[in-house]
Amino acid sequence: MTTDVAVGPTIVSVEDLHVRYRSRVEPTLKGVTLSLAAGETLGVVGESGCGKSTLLRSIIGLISSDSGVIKVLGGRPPGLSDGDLNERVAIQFVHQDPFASLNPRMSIRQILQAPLRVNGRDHSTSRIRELLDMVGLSHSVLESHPAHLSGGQRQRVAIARALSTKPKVLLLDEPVSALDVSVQAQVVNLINDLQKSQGFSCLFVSHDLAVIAQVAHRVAVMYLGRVVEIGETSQVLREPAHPYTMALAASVPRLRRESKGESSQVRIIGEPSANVMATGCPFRSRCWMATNRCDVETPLLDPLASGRKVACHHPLGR
Amino acid sequence: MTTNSALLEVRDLSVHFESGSDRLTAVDGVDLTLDRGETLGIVGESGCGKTVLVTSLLGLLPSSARVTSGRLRFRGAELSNVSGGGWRAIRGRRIGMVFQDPTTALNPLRTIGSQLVEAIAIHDRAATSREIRTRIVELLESVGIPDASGRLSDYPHQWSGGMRQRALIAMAISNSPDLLIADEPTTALDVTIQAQVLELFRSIQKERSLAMIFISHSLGVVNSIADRVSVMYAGRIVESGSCSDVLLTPSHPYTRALVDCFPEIGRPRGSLRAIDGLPPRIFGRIDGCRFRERCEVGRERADCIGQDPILKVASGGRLVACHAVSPS
Repeated sequence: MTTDVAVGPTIVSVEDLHVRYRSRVEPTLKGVTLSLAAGETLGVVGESGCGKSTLLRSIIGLISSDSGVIKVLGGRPPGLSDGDLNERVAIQFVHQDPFASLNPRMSIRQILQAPLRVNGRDHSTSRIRELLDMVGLSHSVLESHPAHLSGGQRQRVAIARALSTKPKVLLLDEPVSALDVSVQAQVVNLINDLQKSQGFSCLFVSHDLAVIAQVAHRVAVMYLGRVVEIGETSQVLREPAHPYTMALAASVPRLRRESKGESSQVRIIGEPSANVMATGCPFRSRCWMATNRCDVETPLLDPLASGRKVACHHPLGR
Repeated sequence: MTTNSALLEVRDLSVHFESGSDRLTAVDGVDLTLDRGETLGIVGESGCGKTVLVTSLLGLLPSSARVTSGRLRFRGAELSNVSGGGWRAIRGRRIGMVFQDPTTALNPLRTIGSQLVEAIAIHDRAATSREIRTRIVELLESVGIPDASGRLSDYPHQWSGGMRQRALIAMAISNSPDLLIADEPTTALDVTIQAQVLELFRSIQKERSLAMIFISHSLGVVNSIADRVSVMYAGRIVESGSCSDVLLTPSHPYTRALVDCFPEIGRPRGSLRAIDGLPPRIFGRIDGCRFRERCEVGRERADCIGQDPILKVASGGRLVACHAVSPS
């Protein structure tokens, strides 16, 4: 099966990235390697604490890494201190909570003008109107404040703001999880349409595989600071190789249930525990397939025949 | 009293909010019946009135709200005229509740144990503190908190979101209620933890043959927990029936639209169909169907413009309020 996107040149690459917050003993990222191609959406999925937000924040330069290489457009990522604005405008962020990410004291016009003004771009009213049209908002919101807009409208403003500088890369951190299902679908479709027309690449973080399946060409599944499976979304969902991926997919509520109440689906028990064992598979305490080997040997992210990669000693479907 | 054996009966309930001369309709003529041991799911978008509806079943409506019509019967007794003090004997005792956000539902300055003690002691004055403690430990272990006796002096911030929601479920069932009302209880949780908490609700419901009203904006969540589902739109129930009927073969155009925008694993990328626009806010009288503006079927139909549809029996015995659906 092929993706419906022409795989372009690599636009973001992350190699063996390690990040530890000073307040924590355990590192949050323990060697993450992945890349994002031009025009592609890579979904990043995992539970709270798996490091998916830290990954995004490292890529945009909000967090400094302990080791590893991040390249954006072939160069190193923009640090906060060095003022390489050309690089920084090439990569933009959309946050989870559109109630917190927009300044409540600014009008929508001011919010959308800010990044353009800072970067010395055209911030005329006609340009702002163009941005509103692009995300399907009426011009009448121009002088409104965020408090007057619904959650979905605010998230459209946040997307318009992020796209105003015509970035090459959009980083989206749970952009629809604070929204109603109906509005979620509007925003998901908007992101897909805009990507098609403007050609930017997306790194889309969510804890919900069903949402990821709607946006991502490829998906990276993260568990406690590591990528445990990465590959084409449709393939990963159809035949997950990592038990964790299978369990994540089984956790998503469905409209068609096999039998009422109980089902034959796998369920993972417990929560990810970060106070882990230095060696062995980090998922083994919740895994129903774990063996002695999983206790002693940390699995590496190895390619399977299908072109996908999985970090498991006992990948499924073998 | 010819109310057969229904645990809860709501007839023609309407709730309005008044500010100045504006009168906003939140719930408009809703009927509900719930039997013992039955789970009813309520779905709909933000602002459709689902939370106001269940809040009125708890006597917790804000002071700006007015119940303008309706009768509530619970365990054969009228709830409509219950006073503030009367509610205290019902709420938390006969009707338990679990809210969306397990972080704000607990007092951050008090231990989890003391908050559970309070929930029990307020309704059971005779229990000794030792008895209460034993009950709390049993309760917490039954909701999946291991080593509960050693964790009673923990503060809420020391527990994860999933554990806090388990504690709140324990609190809600601590006085063995007949009815449990859960308002988006898993929305703030990770999908994996959501699956575990839903499993917990199912097992509690079965063990105690509790009746439950379960509110969610997610069709999948409601489907995994409820026997019947009512779909709410702009203060009205627009479709109601068994989960398998309503969610797999929706009749009302609104239910169909909700199903089309529900992300489900197995649907190809980019296949969601969004519903344009937002639900209306109803001020004053309304002519015609309130979903008409967003409806694919009835936007131009004369009856949809002129007449507010009422619930009628349709295929499979479900109730549907739509002019375009032929009654059976």
